[in-house]
Amino acid sequence: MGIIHADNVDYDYQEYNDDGTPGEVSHAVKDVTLDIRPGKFIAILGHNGSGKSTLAKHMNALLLPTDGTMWVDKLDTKDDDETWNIRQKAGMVFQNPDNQIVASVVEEDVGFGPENMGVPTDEIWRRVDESLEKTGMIAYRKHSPNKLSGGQKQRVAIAGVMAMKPKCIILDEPTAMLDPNGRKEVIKAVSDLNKAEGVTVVLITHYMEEVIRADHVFVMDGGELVLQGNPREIFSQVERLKELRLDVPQVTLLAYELKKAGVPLPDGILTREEFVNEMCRIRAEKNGN
Amino acid sequence: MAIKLDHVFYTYSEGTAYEMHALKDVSLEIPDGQFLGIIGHTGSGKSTLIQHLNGLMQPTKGTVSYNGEDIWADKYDRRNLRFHVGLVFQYPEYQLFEEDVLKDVCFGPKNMGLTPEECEKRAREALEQVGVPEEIFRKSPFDLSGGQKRRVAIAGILAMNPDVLILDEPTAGLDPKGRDEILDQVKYLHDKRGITVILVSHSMEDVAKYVDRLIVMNKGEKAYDAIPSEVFSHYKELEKIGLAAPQMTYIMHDLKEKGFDVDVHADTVEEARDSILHALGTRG
Repeated sequence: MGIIHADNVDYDYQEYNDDGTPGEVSHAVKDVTLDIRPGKFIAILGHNGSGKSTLAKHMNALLLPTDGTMWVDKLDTKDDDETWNIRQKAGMVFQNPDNQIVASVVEEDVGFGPENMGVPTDEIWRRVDESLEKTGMIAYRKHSPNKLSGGQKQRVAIAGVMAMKPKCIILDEPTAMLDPNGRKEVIKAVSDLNKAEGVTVVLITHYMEEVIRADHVFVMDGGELVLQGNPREIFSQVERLKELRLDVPQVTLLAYELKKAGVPLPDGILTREEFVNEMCRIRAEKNGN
Repeated sequence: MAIKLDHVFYTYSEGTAYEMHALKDVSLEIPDGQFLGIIGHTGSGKSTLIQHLNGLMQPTKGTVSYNGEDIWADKYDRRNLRFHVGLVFQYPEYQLFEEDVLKDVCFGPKNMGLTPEECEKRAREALEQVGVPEEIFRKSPFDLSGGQKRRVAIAGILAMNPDVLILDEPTAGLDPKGRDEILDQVKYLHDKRGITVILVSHSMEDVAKYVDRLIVMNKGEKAYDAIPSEVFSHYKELEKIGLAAPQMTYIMHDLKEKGFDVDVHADTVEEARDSILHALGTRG
C-alpha cells in the first residue's frame, strides 16, 4: 500500500432546497480506487466541478468517504484518534494565497504548524529556517506576509506545511490566482521539494504545462477517475481530453495537428526541444530518401 | 476617437519619501471597435490603467477623455460614463448578490433608470449573449458552477449595453474549456455588436489568439504597444521584464535557427501549423 490509498471511495452530499427541505443527493466522488507510491509527483486534472478538489480533501481527512476507505500512510482517515496524525503526514495548500496566512510575520506563520503540534521551541526555529530556505523565502522571514506577491505567499504556505515534516503535500490549484512568474516560482519550489526531500506531491491544476513533469497523472470527470497514465500517455489523447473540457500543452497540440496533416511525428510530444528534434529527424529522413 | 489618455500619471504619496508612480506618462488612444490586450506582471500598473478608463481612478497628472470630453472636467457625468465603459473586475462572481440570476443581471439597467420591462429584456439578451440557458434564470446565482457564475457576472455589465467592455482576467481559475468558451463569446460580441473590448490577461497564448493590438505594461509605463506578433518578436526583452512570448514563437525561432524556412511571426498553433507545412513543402 502506498502513502495514499483509496479503496472504492464514494462521497455523497445532501443538497437542500430554498425552503430548507432536503433535495437531491449529489455524488461528488464515485468509486475511486487509486494508490500513490511514496516520493512520486502526481498530478490530478479535471474540469471545474469534476470532483478533484473533493477527492483531494479526502487525502488529509478534511472530508471522510461516505463509502469505501481512504488510507494515508496506512491510517484509515475515518479513525478519529488519528485525524491530527494524518494531517501532519499529509499537508494541504489551497488556491487562494490570502486565505491561508495566519500570522503577521512570515517566520511566525511558518512556525504555526509545528507549534500546534507541540514541537519544542528550538526545533520549531530550526524547522522554520529549513523550510524557508528550501522554498527560497529565507530573505523574507521578517516581512509581513501581506506585502508579498501571490507567488511568494504560496511559497510561505508551502514552507508552513513543510515545517510540519509531512510525507505528502497536496496542492489544490496553488497557481490558479498567480501570474506566470508566480506560477513558475511555486512549481519550482514544489518540484525541488519532491526531488531533494522525496516528499510525495499531489498537484491539482488546470495548467497543462505544470503536468508534463509529473510521474503519473489522474484525470477526473463526474466524480470518477476516467484516465490515468504518465503525461505522454495522457497527452496523446488530444480528442478525449477536449471532451473532458481539458487541453494539451500548445506544442503537443501543434504536433498533433501536423500529424493529422501527414507529418510523421510521434504521439504525445511534451516539450519544445523534443518537437524541434523530431522535426530535424523528419527532415533528415526526407532528404535521405 | 473613443478613449484617450494624454500623459497620464498616477502617483502614490506624491511629494514624500514614499512617492511611487503606479502610472508614469502613459499616452494612448483606443479607437472604437478595437480588440485590445493589456499584459504585464503583477504590479506593472495594468489594473491602475484600466481603472482610469472609466473614471474609477483620477490621474494625478494628465487627462483622460472619452469621445473628446475630459472625464474629470467640472459637471462631467462620470456615473453615466460607467454605463458606456463597463468594467468586469477579476473574480466578478464574488459580486453577485441577488436572489436569482435574472434579478442580478437587471441590477445595472435598473440603476440606469430603465423601466422594469426594459431591464428584463436587456437582462435576457445579455444572458443569452454569454450563453446562460433560460432554465437557470430563476436559480440563485450562488448555486451555479464557477464558469456559469462568471458568465452571469459578465452579463450584468453587458445588460447596460456598454460601448466599451473591459475585462480584468476574465478566465482566471476556469478550466481550459471554460476559458475558451468565455473568450470565444467575448470575441463574438466584439465582432457582432462592434463593441470595443479591452482584455487584461496573463496568458500570451490567449492574447495571441484574440487581440488586434497589445499593450505591455512595465513599472507603470507602456513598454510595447503594437500588433501581437510585433510585440512577441521582442521575446528576449519580454523575458527581462518577467514575461514571455507564446510557446509557438519560441518553437518557430528554434526551427528557423535549425534552417527551416518558417515564419517566426506565427504565434498561434494554427499559424505555426500552416507555416511548418508550407516549409516542409507538404502544402502550397
